[in-house]
Amino acid sequence: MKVVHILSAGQYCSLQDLGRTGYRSFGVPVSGPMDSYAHQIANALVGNSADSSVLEMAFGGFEGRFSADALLAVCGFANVSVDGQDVPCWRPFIIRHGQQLSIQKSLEGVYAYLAIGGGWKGELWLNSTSTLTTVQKGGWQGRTIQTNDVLETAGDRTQTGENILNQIKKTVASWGIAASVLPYQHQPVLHCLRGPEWEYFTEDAQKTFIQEGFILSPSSNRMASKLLGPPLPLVEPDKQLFSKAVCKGNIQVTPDGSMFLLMADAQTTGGYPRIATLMAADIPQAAQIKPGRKLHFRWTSAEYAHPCLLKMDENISGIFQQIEQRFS
Amino acid sequence: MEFLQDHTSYRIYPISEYAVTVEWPSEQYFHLVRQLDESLRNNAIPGCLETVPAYNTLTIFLDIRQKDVLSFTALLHKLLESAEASISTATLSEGRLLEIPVCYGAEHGPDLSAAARHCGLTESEFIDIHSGNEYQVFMLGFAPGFPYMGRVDKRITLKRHDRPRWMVPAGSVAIAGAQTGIYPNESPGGWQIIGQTPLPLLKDDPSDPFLFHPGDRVRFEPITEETFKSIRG
Repeated sequence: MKVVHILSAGQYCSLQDLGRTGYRSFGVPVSGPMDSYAHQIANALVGNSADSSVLEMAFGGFEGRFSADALLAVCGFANVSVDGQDVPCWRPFIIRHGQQLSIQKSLEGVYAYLAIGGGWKGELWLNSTSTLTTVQKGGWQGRTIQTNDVLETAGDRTQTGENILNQIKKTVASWGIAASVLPYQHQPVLHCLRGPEWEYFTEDAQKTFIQEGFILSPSSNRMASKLLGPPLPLVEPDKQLFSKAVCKGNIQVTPDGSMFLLMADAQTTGGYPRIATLMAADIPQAAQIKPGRKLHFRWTSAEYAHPCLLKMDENISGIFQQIEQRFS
Repeated sequence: MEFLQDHTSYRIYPISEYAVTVEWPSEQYFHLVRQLDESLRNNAIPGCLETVPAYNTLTIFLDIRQKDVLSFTALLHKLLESAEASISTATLSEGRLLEIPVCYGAEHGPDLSAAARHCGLTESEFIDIHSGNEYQVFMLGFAPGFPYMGRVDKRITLKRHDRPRWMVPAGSVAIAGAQTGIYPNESPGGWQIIGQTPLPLLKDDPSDPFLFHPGDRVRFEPITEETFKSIRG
């Protein structure tokens, strides 16, 4: 069902489900949300399954007029309002026919996720609705959302979604996600595992990586976050590496000294040395760091990182379960 | 081809909490990459989501709810040791042989004439060498469906352009070093463009969406402008 007329789509607004797995060996990036935590929780709050399509937007700039009543939630970081009335993130709310939704940038983070009861309708490519603009596939006609697009819901609300909607008395639900469970810190320290090519870097480079801070470059995008800082020289700068599979969280250093943290739309293979791998549980946090901010890395072990990832998984499934119990 | 190897010749390391790479010394071991890949597929190991073969590595992505990197590494060691014990690639399928039509030179291959001159060859000698070889698809990467093939004959290896082209047309057949590849879709690119295939690399068939698979063998067949047009339609 057609539900919202886009008046302004902002800088980079795209449809994303949880990504495209099973095609890495054909060179297909996984895509999916930059902040998979906020993405899934937005779905939970409107009674959707975790892998429903959500609108991801960077730095706000979103305005849309609704042509039908809808159950919505915005998670991540943004300043949200309905017809000028502020609405909090991390809580479900109702928008009525004719009302205007505004999602603007926040000082605290980059990405916001707008979920709608029933999910957003997106084009399926290789079993996923995630948008991959480089090949113009998936999502909304394979591209980012633009002004004057009219977006549709994928289907009806689930029974849980229906019950959430009926229980909301005014506009916004009287409940939401407790701030204490959110995986974001004010001064983020990012935990890293040693990279597969860690030994290719000089001892000085290895020390610098941990001791110095790195600035997130404004030229970061969905493929990679570019990090600016002191050079990280290699022991053998001319050594050629065979290209091989890379993944989200890998931190590559290119021959000109640039450092890239691979993110959602990263290529599936690469041949640059990887000094470190950001632990998976810290990726949502890393995605929300604003350009210009300084970030610091700290070494950790697989023994620490693995349970952190399982814990984040339990955090998400716990929220789904509680909502299900309360509203089914 | 080598059938015997030492246990020390491969190493296994994690690239994240949910992915492990098995690495051999060079692409001479690609048959072992494929063999491990096939045996993982045939055994349908629970928690093993997908694999990425590439030159001298196989990377395995895991479902962390079912498998952790440490226990999976132990399982890989076992599997590789038993595979070595059999010292055979007899069970390994040879890989499909694909014939790819290519219109070389002129507007389809804007770098061909300079490349031939650089190699001290005529254009037709260059084409004969490129199309006279059988290649192996070692990896797909860079873009969905982009095959990395090798090895290119020493006489026609070429350096990448210092400055990548802003836009390379879909189907462009190119060389970089000892590799040859084909751009599946219009994109920026730094490889030397010597020709173009009229075949689409991304197919409309959802059960088999890509023309090339890792492990395929490839031959290029020179075609005329007319044939190019008639195939493309």
